Amino acid sequence: MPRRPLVFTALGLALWGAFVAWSDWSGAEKLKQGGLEGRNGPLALVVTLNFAPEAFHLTRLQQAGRMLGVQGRTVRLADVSAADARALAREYWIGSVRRDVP
Amino acid sequence: MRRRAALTGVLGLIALLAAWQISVPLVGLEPYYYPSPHDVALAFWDLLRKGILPVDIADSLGRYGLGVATGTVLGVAMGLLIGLNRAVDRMLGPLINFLFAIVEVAWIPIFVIWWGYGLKTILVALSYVVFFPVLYNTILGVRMVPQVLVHAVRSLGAGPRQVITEVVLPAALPNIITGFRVGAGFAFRGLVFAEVIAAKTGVGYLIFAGASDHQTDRTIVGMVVMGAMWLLIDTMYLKPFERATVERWGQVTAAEMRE
Repeated sequence: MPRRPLVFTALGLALWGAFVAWSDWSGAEKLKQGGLEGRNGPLALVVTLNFAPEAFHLTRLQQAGRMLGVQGRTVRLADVSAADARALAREYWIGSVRRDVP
Repeated sequence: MRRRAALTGVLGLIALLAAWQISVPLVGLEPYYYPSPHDVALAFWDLLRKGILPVDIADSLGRYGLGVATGTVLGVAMGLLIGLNRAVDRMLGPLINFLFAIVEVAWIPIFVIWWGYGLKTILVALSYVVFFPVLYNTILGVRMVPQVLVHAVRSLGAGPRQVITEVVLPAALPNIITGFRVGAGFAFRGLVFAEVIAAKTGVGYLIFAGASDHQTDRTIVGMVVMGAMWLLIDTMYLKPFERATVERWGQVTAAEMRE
């Protein structure tokens, strides 16, 4: 078995594993800061991106919940499950995820 | 020697980028028509920080891997069947030659009608592209197996399954691997067409969407990423694999491999 593909694959898997671990940690921190730690769904969220959202981001957010509105870099979502909230928090392009208090 | 060749390549690339950057103010066109390397670099960083590029690359690689794997399995299976059985060859040969002439781009609109936009359509399209090079090379490899070997194992009591697994398949393997490498190359190009028509993510879609949205810098980012992805796949996987098999088995010399 040639060595180069094995080394390259191992390196790729290691980098991906490190990224996943960092995403899990940063996602947990965002949920804690947003008052969402340990909460069960369905949740109403205020998701703030690090930039104005594009079609890609709006599609991704709509997959997580019902979109109530977009204002600048902030998107309000309703009926988001706890699992989807955790998945959103793990995205590095999302700055914060907070509970939407009406 | 190899380090000098690599350094020459890098210097050539730097010279090309410098010439491109210098030409932009001289040409005097809007960035929409003629973005500079700096514009493209900024677009690359923008797509990366917004999470778009990693998803596009991951989706493209996933579709590519699945398509190549499926097309290879089908191509090898059909190639063995046709190569070993003249009746099947006479029955399917003309149909396969007919289908070979129809490029997968012509099939994609039909696939979209049958399976809609998404993974299924792209997978079928990529498998179609990989299938034919693998099929033809498998048939060639099977037909090149010296019959004296087949007769020898049969005289020792081997059944049809053993003849295939112990003689035919190992003997045809160099040709199968060559067909696989050709098919893998065609599939990469086919991926762009398939994603332009039938996907909402992927590097091919990025190229198309950039042009549609008047973001030519993003289109060029997609093209550069596409070239880099193929370079990585070929350098890290296909070439070493071929070197460890086809070259090692004496089918192709090292000098021919370097060409």
